[in-house]
Amino acid sequence: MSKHHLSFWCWLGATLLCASPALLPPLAAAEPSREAWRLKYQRPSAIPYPADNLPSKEKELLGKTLFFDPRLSGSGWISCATCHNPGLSWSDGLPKSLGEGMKTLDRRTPTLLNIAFGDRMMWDGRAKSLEDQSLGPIQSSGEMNGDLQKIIPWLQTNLGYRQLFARAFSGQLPNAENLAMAIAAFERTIVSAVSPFDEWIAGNEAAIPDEAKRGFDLFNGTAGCAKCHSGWNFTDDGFHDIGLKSTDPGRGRFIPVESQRFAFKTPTLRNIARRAHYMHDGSEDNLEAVIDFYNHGGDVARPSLAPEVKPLCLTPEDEHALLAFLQTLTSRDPQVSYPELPEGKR
Amino acid sequence: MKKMLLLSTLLTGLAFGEDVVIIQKDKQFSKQVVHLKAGDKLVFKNADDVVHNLYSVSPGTQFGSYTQQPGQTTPVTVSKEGEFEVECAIHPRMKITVKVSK
Repeated sequence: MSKHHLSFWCWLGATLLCASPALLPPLAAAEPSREAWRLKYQRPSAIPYPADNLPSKEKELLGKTLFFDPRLSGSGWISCATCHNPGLSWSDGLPKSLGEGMKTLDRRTPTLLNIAFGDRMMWDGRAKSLEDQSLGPIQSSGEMNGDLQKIIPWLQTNLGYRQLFARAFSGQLPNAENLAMAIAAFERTIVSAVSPFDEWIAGNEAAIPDEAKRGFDLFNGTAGCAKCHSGWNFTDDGFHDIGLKSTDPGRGRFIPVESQRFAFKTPTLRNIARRAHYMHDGSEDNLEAVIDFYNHGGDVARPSLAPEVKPLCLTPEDEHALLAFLQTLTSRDPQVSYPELPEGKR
Repeated sequence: MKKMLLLSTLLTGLAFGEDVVIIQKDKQFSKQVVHLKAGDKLVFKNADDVVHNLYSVSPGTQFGSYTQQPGQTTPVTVSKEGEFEVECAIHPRMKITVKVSK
C-alpha cells in the first residue's frame, strides 16, 4: 500500500473490514456473467454531434488550425495543444496544468480523447457543451489568457484565417461563435482507436491475456469500478467525491447538493496507462497507486464521499489483474500532423 | 353502494392525487417528460445499483433535493402548477421535465 497516501485510520478501517468476513456485506446473489458484462462495452458506430454544429472537413481543418495556434493566447506562446498534446494522448503528462506565466494550476489537464461522447465539460461540469467549453481556457487568465476583443479582429484581418472561416462557415467572417464551433468540431474528431480490449470485446479471445480478463471481471464485479467507469468510454459522465485529500470544492461550487461537494467528473480510462499522472489533482503518480487508493476506500471519509468508494479487500493478485486489464485499453491512435498556421503577425 | 364507492374514489383522487411512477434504470429516467396535475404524487424508484439524486435545476421551484439509495422509492408531491427540469446531480445525463397543470 502506498504509505504517503494512506491515513492510518483509513488503513485500520480497511484492514479490520477485510480481515473480518462477518462485517462484510453479503455478496450479490447472482452477478451477471462475464459475457453479459462484455455486451456493455461495444464501440459506437458513429461520432455524435449537435444539430446546430454539423461536422465538415473545412470546419475541422479550421478548428485544428486554431487548436494548434499559440497566437490565440495572451503571451502568443500557448495553444490548446500545449496542454492537450496529441503525442501524450491529448494531455500533458504533468500532475497539474501549467498556464500563463508558467504558473501551476489547481487541476490536471484532462485528455480530449472521446470528448465528443461527453456530456458536461470541464472537471466540474460547468460547461454544458463543447462549444460552450472551448472559449473558456482561451480566455481564462490563468490558462491561455487570450482576449477575444483582440483575437477576433486579428482573425478578421488575417487573410489565411479569413479564407479558412469563409470556407468553413459559408462566407462568414470570424466571430466568437464560429471560433468556438470550429474548435469543438475539430475536438469531436479525437477518438481513441481500437485497442486490444476492443478486439476482445469484438470476439478475439487471444487479444488480451487471461489475467486481464480476470481484471475485467473484478472491474465489473467485486471492485465495482464500472459503477462509475461504465460503458465503452469508461465513464458515466457523472460527478463523484472519491475521497482525495484535496479541498478543491469541484462541482460543489455550482450544485447545492451534498454529494457534489469535492465532486469531479469521472474521467475516461481510454489510454489510461499512457496518461500519468492521475486523479483531477494529479496526486497519484502511477496506476498501481490509483488501484491501491480505491482498494483502501479513499483517503478521506466525509459526508459527500461516494458510497461506491469503500474498502475493497482486493488481494495483490487482484490488484495486478486490474492493472493488466487497464493496460489493454491502450490503442495506437492515428498520428496527428501539425497544421500549417496562416502567416501574419498578431 | 356503487355511488358511494365512486364518490370515495373521486374524493381520494381529489385529496391525494394520483401516483405517477418513474423508474431510474441504467442511469436513465423511464420518461423524459411527465405530465401531472397539481396534487399528484411522483414516485421515483431507483432500480440501479448506484446511489442517485433528484433535484430541480429550474430556479424557484417547489421540488427539493433527494438522495436515493439503490432500490429506494422516493415520493414527491407536486402542489403547484408549473414546469421544471429535474436532474440527478451525480449523473446529470439523467434529466426529466415535470409539467404540472391545474
